[in-house]
Amino acid sequence: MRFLVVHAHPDPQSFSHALCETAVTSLKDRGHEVTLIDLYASGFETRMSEAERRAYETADPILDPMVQSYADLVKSHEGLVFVYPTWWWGMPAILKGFLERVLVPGVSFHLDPTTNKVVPGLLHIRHLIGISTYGSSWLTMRFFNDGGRRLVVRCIRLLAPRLRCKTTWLSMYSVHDSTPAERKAFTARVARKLGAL
Amino acid sequence: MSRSSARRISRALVVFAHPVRDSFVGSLFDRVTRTLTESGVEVRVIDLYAEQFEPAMTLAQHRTYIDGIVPTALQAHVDSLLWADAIVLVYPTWFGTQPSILKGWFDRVWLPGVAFETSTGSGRLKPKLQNIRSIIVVTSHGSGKFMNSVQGEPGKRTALRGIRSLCGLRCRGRWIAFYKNDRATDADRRAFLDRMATKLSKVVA
Repeated sequence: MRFLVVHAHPDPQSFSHALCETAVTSLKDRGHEVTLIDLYASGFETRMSEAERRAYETADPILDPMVQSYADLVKSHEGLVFVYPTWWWGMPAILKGFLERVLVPGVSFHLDPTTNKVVPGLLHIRHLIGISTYGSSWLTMRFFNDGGRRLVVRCIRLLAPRLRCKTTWLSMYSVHDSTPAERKAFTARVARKLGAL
Repeated sequence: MSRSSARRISRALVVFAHPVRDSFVGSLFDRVTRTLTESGVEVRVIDLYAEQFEPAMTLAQHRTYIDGIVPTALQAHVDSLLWADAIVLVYPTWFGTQPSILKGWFDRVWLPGVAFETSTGSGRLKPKLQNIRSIIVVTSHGSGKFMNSVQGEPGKRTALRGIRSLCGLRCRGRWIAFYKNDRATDADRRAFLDRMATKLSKVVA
């Protein structure tokens, strides 16, 4: 299977970055093809521009060559993996911007011309995976909202209607209170889960 | 002085996040500021796109985040957060949540020492924005209400549970949302503008 790994953390020395490397290595060792998009390293523009918003409902909603290359990658991979720290109950802005600008009509869905209803477009996606760290505890996230997780396993999953499209979520809570041993154990869990796909 | 007048909203910070000024959400924004002003509320506006707000947390800011240092470029935003007694968010819902530029505004402006405090190294947050008594969201969804509940309304939860939890226990949340915009007519949208204005003037009264 071909996996597209999308990573969003500004610091190359972060724990999130290490988790991303583990994910890529484990998938490759298992014999999968892996492509990595490091949003910060690539200098990705977070904001949808006015011109892009005006083009959104036209036949050519993509105006930026970098966005076009990422949209082509989404179309040619069967697995999507998101690795990011959860900030304020959701994804970092740069990753949210990636979804807004890349998963446009013609890539992840289109509007039915007669009913104007959303028609899912990610028919080739077979696996959605999220790997996230949280400052808050499990209980806090349950009570308030895990917006990033909902975005992936519900919003994007609804656009990937293959009956057997799987979702996997790997989360480490209370990461600021964690010990090096706990972080090591979580890294091992990521390697084990992704190495078994 | 009655309790209701003591709780009256007098200073509102309106945050607008849409790239197209003459869009439907743009007209919601105009109507929001007008309604607030007519209700005698002092209004401050942050138009994130107009001021070309950079939403991606930078490496430099991330490294000093926990020290509670406010970057100079963000000081005015922080001052407005501390000035307001109500926050009104006006944005289109994209992928169930706030547009990236608004998410980035939370990421970069709702800082330690401003919005919350932590005991050293702990994930437990103590809310600090006790001045904010009301969070009001005015938004539009392309899809219908049913689809949004299947998706779990992550944007609504982020604003009314998450962001609100940094404002103290008595802060009230109000959700004024237009659903099914993809299939709406101009008459539907005009009717919502009036409905929104009526609701908003009641909320701040």
